[in-house]
Amino acid sequence: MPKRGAQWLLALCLLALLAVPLTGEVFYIRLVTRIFVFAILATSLNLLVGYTGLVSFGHAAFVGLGAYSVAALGLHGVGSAWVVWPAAILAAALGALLIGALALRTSGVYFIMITLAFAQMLYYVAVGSARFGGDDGVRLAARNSLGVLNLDKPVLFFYVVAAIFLAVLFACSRVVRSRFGRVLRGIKDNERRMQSLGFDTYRYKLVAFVLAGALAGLGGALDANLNAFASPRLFHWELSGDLLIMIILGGLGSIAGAPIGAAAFIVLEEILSSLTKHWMAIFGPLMLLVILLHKGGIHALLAGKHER
Amino acid sequence: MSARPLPLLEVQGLTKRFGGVTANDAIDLELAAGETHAVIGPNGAGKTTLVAQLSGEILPSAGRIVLGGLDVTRMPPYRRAARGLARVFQVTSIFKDFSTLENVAIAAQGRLSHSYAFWKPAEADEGLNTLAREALRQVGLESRWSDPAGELSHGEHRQLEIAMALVRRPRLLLLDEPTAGMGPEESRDFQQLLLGLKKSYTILLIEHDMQVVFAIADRITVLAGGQVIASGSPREVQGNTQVREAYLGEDFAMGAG
Repeated sequence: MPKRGAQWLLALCLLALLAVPLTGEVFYIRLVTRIFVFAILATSLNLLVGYTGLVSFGHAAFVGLGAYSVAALGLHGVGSAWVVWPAAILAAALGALLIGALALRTSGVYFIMITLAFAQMLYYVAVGSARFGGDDGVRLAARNSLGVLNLDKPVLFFYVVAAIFLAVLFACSRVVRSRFGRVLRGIKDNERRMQSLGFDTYRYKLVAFVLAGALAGLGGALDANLNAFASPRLFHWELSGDLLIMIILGGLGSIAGAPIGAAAFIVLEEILSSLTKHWMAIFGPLMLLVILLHKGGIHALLAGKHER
Repeated sequence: MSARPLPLLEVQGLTKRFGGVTANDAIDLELAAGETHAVIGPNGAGKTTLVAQLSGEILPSAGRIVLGGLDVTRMPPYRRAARGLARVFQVTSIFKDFSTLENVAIAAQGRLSHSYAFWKPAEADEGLNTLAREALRQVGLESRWSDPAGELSHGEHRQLEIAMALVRRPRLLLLDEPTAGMGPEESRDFQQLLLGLKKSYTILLIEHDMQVVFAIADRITVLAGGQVIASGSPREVQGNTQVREAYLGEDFAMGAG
């Protein structure tokens, strides 16, 4: 398919998703809201894996921090989205700063393991914390309030999340093409060379890590709102793994790839898991097929890009 | 009474031991600004270790490196680069996913105090692009600016490496075997390029090809077994019997003519 055609197709898909509330079916509205939330999460991880070459296997840590910030503030009666969501972003960014500062001293497999270890550590803290319901997580009394908008109405919440997703996508598409984004792509391609050109690559990677963590925190806050629930599963490595699968499936290092992967993953999960409990047994080979067809994932397949 | 001008690069007693092996043994080296200084030596003489220490990728066991009056012995590579050291790698080291122009543009970007600019597209940054085009012109690669760097020929990769160094307006060019892997003709063309650079840059040249060395070096330092066995003008070095012995079996006299 020519590139133009692929762009039209993607635009149509997006419009179709945005029109889903017209059906009035709460089930579908929730499903697509979930797609947008995961598209934000996948996009944030794509900044690291796809653009900087940093394979983080602990991205769930920041999703969990975002969600638990909502829960913690909720327990103290703070429910305004204007306060809670920035706080969630800040908490996740701070977590990313601490974890990143240590993890980025390593690289390769060690980086993968150390990010995984930090996220799992937070998972066990959440599970062990009686204040936050331990294993059961925290049920929220209500969604956060956004001025006059009542987010407990599924349609309103849907459009708020959709708008945030589009803003995040647009911002990321600018960032990866900026001077900063060029430095990240340079680090992915040849970090040693970047250092010999005068770039303090550690600092740039840390900024990217904090940026991605902050966005994941926002996504986590939205997920907690969607389900009115902060689950310790949000810290778990399975979520980190799912996010990695989404961006690999959709296409690493392309802005459209992460949302495409998130949508494909969630839709397939929904369809396949209604057929069988062992849906991963079908999903796995499907994913393998896409990757074998094109390393660039679904997005590259659609755009008809040639493999180099 | 006139004070001697500070040398641009001063290496004193530089030593690197790997376990029991002394790869660099108390190396002294001095480069005045504007000079082209070649370091030669047979395989295993310690040239690669010397380059790695000068660029900061490995730290010395003993000794000092002073660049432009500042002790850089313990500095990481990126800070040395910021102090004006530009290295051309022996094995081509470029950004193969980038276009030729973007390779030079990112090198130019490295000269800025920082690259924490998150919003404006870098590709449309005419300030950087102009610098990059100018550097590509200097090395004769301007016609290939839009091609992916991975598609250039070996010789063109070397030219690109030089352009990436020049765009940074370096105080010291560290050329690590720039003609490695070139055919005789490519090598001769490249020699012309180096002769042009010699006029405006201070160059430390690590080189295997004697013809190139004798054509462009003002001074030559000869390494063997990790030690400096001779240092002086090309003529002095050529007449040195120790040097001839070190190169026994290799055609050292080749470039003498």
